[in-house]
Amino acid sequence: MSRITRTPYQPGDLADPARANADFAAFSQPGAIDGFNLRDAAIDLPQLASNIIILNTATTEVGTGAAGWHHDAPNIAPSSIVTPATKTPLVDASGNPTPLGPFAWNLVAGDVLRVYWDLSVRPKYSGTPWVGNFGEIDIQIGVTSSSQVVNLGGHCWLISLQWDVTNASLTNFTEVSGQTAYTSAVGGTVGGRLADSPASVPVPAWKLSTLNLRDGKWSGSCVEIDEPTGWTAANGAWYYLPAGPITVYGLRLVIHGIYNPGQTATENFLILDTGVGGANQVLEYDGGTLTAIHQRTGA
Amino acid sequence: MKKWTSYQARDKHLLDAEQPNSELRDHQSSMTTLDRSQLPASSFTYNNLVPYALHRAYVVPLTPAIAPAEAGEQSLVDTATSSTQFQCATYQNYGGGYRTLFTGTLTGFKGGNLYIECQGCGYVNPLAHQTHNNGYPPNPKFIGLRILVAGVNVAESMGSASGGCEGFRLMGTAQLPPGDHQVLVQWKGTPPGQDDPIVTFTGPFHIMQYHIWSAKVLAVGRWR
Repeated sequence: MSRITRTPYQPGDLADPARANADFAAFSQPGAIDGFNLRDAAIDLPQLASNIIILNTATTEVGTGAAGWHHDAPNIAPSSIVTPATKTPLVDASGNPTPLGPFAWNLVAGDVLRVYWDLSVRPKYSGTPWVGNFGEIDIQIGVTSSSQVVNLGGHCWLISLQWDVTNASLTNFTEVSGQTAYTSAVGGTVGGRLADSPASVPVPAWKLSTLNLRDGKWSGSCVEIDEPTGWTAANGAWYYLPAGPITVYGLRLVIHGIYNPGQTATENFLILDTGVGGANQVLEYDGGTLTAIHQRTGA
Repeated sequence: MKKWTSYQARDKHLLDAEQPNSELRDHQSSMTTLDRSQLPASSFTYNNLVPYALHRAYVVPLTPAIAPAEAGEQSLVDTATSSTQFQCATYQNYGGGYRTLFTGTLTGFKGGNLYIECQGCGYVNPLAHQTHNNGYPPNPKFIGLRILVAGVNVAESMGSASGGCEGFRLMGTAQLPPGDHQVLVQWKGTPPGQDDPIVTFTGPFHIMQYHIWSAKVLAVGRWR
């Protein structure tokens, strides 16, 4: 409470400017005004500064932009045939990078950075690249002692978020906090722990299935079927709670693949399958958006 | 700084007691009746507000910390799968029904609008969508998701992921009274059909069916 109480002046007191000025100064003390001095409902939106909740926002079209949604001239991200996978940054129709930024957002503890993205994509392939590669299992043929190999259809492209926390030149993009680079040696290839994949979203490289499995077995009429994923949307999100001050200058999306589920004895991974890569396995993409919101948690 | 408005006392003058008393009383009166007409625009900043005065953003891990290592389904870990599969939900450890990914509490919700969203990645085994004995109607495989707040279903999707590795996002809003509200994020896979292979011929290994990882929840409460 900030009620200011002073001894009243009494008749006969001599004027003392020091005392009088001190009394008046008391009313100007920093912090002397608080809720006690304010009427109920005294503060409304006009009295609040503009950055109470949202500190910064930014959004940009990535890839070929909205015009590309016609799918008539998509860009192409290649698959990898060597490890580690090359990460392909999104570019526009002219080949220019489409990052979000540059800006200089100063994040501190108590803030949250919310990032959202979407991208129109079409995985393409030729033939049956999954045959002989990761993800295969075999299913018993009827009651015989032979089996049929099929693939579990886990191959995927990844669209990952990167940030530049070095400077506004946007030439120092790295994986965002907590995000693996998918370069860990695992299973004879490289990959990244699922536990370290908060800012990557998968896109199925193809759609596999079967027809006429019977009683848990491969029956005489069984066939393995595949179809392209087709044009689809990849949606991702990432939240960052900084433990201390950090400045974010920009964000961008990169495409890499093709990965497949994998594991060590104790952890799950997405592992790069160079065996399915090749010139005919590409990820076509065109338009999308990348949006970031820098706001306070309210703490 | 407050200023004299009617008469300024001077050194060694005989004081009329009511003069400074009145002056001070006037100022005190003005101080204790501040309202929006007397407050300049944008005069209050974030530092003038008590914590969570206007809003509160909750980010996983919700309270208490419940996010498992992969931020997904971690209680169904089948180690009998082969090396190019996940250790995840198989039909040896999962037979259908909702399972809880996250549980947490929206502590100190002051009453108002809640926005909540969940984004993550999932794998669905696509091999047995349509089988001999489940050919018509078929046995489509998918992961369904729902978000419950205070026991109320605020968002639900029954086809969030349907084949291979995919990303998903689910969002919803609700109007809630003040209180500490519990949040449940749950997933559900299609139960096994009668023709679904559950082991491989070689090994045998169990066969991965469903997995969720990198799931994250953000909720924002707005009190006005």
